[in-house]
Order: sequence, then structure tokens, then C-alpha cells
Amino acid sequence: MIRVSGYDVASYGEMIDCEPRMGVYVEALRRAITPGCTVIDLGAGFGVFALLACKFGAGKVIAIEPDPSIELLMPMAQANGCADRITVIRDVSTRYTPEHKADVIVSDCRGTVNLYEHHIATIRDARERLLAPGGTLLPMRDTLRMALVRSPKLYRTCHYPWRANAYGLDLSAGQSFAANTELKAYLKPRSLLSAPRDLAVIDYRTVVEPNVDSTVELVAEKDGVAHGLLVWFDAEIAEGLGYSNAPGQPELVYGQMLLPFADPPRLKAGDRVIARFRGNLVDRNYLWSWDGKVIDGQTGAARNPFQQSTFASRVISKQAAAAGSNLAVPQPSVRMQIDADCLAMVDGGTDQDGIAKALMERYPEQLPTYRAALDSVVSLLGRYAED
Amino acid sequence: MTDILQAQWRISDQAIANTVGDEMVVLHLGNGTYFGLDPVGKILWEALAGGQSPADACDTILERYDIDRATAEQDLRQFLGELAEGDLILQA
Repeated sequence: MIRVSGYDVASYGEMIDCEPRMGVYVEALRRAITPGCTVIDLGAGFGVFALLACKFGAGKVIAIEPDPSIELLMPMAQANGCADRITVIRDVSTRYTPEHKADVIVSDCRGTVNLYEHHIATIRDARERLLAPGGTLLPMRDTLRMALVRSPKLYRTCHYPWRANAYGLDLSAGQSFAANTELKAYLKPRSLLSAPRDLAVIDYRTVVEPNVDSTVELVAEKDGVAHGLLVWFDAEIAEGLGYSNAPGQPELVYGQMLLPFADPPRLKAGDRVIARFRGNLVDRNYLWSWDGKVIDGQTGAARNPFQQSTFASRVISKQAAAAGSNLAVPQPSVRMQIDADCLAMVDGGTDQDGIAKALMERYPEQLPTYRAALDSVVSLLGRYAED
Repeated sequence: MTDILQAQWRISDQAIANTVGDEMVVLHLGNGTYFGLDPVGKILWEALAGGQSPADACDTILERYDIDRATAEQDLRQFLGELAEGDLILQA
């Protein structure tokens, strides 16, 4: 069993091939770097920003990335004649303490939107511990935006096969799960039913809180069925240098996020949708919640209330949820004992073959074959392989 | 001291629910803790979500299950106490 990278190299290639994004980053790096300065490439992937930083004259570049893809950097650095200026830290940045703080920290740890896993906490930690006073953070600021959209094509996954299908089956129990699932979108301006509104401005030079809770009023500008709320971010990598994922802008790797309505309201121009948007980092991932109502433009009456969350998009058993609760009382099991024995045999001298054979002898019922025992050992110890 | 069964409760806006069949899992967004509800707990939750009182939920439980009122009320008091302790419901 071999642990593989979270991103494949082709995905990193797509990010670099995304010219509107890369063009802005390249220019921002060119402007920020002064001869001999120190640069940190945070969440470096295979380190393309590190290579560019060297090209623009940085004296020392530290590329930090826990993913194995960073192993590609040094061969590339040698090919580009800058290996002597690059240090690779294959770890998470929060565990790294630098000898010298950086003059420039460059990163792009976003997902479809800029709130992604531990992005905010990572940037905050880097800003407070790794950046020299007066240093430059790239990106500088992102603005999260929202608009009402109509898109029957994208909404299809929320409707079919749950509410209608060609097989004569009642699959309606799945509809609410599908309708609470965020969808990746690349919508055009013709899909917009309202002008966009700002949800949140995330300034990486000051941001502390990873969660967002924002309420906006979206006014329908034309008649139509609203299939959901479209969310995207506009980026300012440095002063005067940015890009946008808005409908109508060149398509970028990020795309947009559609939060669908379980019951899409039919709107007339002038109707208003009051929408509360929340992004909460729970465990490692963001949960998105969107709730609100429609206010009739003519009568002022409220209708079509909605209260949705991506938490309701997954089938979660009560047992699984209970196991994740702080109130859960774990019960001992043979499986735990096998793992405990395995860890106890790690002494810096015994190889995995020896541990597997010993476990197979002790637990013939659970580990009846050498392959099963070795897989068990490799799987458990693999958790610690990157430490 | 008011019996918690007689008090008016509302669901915290930090609580979001996920329903599968007759069971429910509730997550507190603020602290990331999960709370599993069995079918009786789900009846209570749905009653509170619909603006009803615990007493209304008790009537529904007595209609659906073969238990006496004292037992149902005792179960509901325990549920309400646990939900309130977890900041999942608040006194209205």
C-alpha cells in the first residue's frame, strides 16, 4: 500500500495552465520580490511559486507543503538553476519555525471558494509567526459574493431521479439530500436573476475568524425560477492585481459554488430574497448553511422560507454521529488491541514484515493471512509516516 | 421552579439537523459536537422546530407508542435537559 498525493500532478498542471490566475500571481511576485529577499511558498504544491520567486531574484525560498508532490521541486529547481536557494519543508506550516522571517509569503490554498479547510488558520499563523514586520502577503484580500441564479441544467441533479424518473420508482427520500448538496458551477451572466452582493471581505492581513455569517438582500431583476444562490470570490492578490470568478469573467480553476433551493421559488422582478449565508469550519471541512425567505415585491408578504445546509446532504447514521461526539464512551475492541500491539512493537529496529508476522500469530482469527496482517500494519503506521 | 416540560423552547440557530428515516443527528455549528436523536427525540425536535411545545410532543408520542404518560414525560424531560445542556435549544 502506497500513500498517494491528495492532488495529482495533472491537477497542479491545470492550476498553472489557468493563465488569468497565474498571470496575476506572476506579476504580484515580480512586484513584491526585491533582490535577495526571503520568500515562503505556503502550501506550495510542487513549488511553482518558489521557482518563480527565484527567477525574480529572491535570495532564499522556503517551500512548505505536506503533500508528497513537493518532492518534484528539487529536480525542477536543479533544472532551473536555483536549487541552492530553495529549502523544502515537507510538513504543515504550523509546525515550522523559521530561522529568518519571510519578506514575502505567497499561497493559494483556496478551493472553489476561498474558505477551504484550514486556509484561514494557516494564513493567520503564517502572518503572525513566519512573516517579517512590514512583509507582503500574497494574496492580500478576497471578497465572497452571492447572487440569485436560474440554471435548470445544473439543478437537474436536485430533481432527477428523486422527483421524477423513467423507472416508475419513488426515490423522493433522496431529494432533500441532493438539494442540500453544493454544486460546482461555471455559470454565465444570463443565469443571474439578481445583482451580486458582497457576503464577506476576507483580508488576509488581518483575518482571524475562519467562519463567516452574513445576511444579504438580493433583488430579482427579472422574472424566473430561482434555482439557488451562487457564491464565488473576487481576488486581490496585491494592490491593483486581481481576478474574479464572477459569471462573465474568464473561467478559472476555482469555478463557482451553487447552493440550490430545495423548493425553487418563482420570482418576479422586484421580489427580494433575504438570505443568510454561513460557512462553519467543522472538523476539517466547511459546512455551508443558507436560510431565509422571499419577500413579495408588491405585497411585502414573506413566502418560500428555506433553511438548508450541506450537513443535510450526507446520510449520517446515528451511530456514526454518536462516535464523533465528545460524550461518546469508547469501548475496547480486539481491533484496538491489534493496533496497540502493533504500535508497541515499533522500536526503531523491527521491520514491518516482523511486526506483521507477530500480529498474525497473535490474532489468527482477525489476521488470517500475511497480506491481511501487513496491510493492517502499513495502514496504521502510514498515519505517522509523514510526522 | 418551572417544569422544563411546561417551558417554551426554540431551536438554537447554531443547531442544524440531518434526518435519515426515523432518526436524526443534530450538529452544533459553534462547537462541532453531534447529538443523535432516536425516534422519540426526533418527535420532540420536530415539534419544537414547528413552534410546538414539549407537551404537544408528548401527545404525539402517546399516540404513536404504547407507553404511559409518566414515562413519556420523564423521557422528554431528560431529552430537553440534554438538548439545553448542549445549547441546541433555548428557552423562548
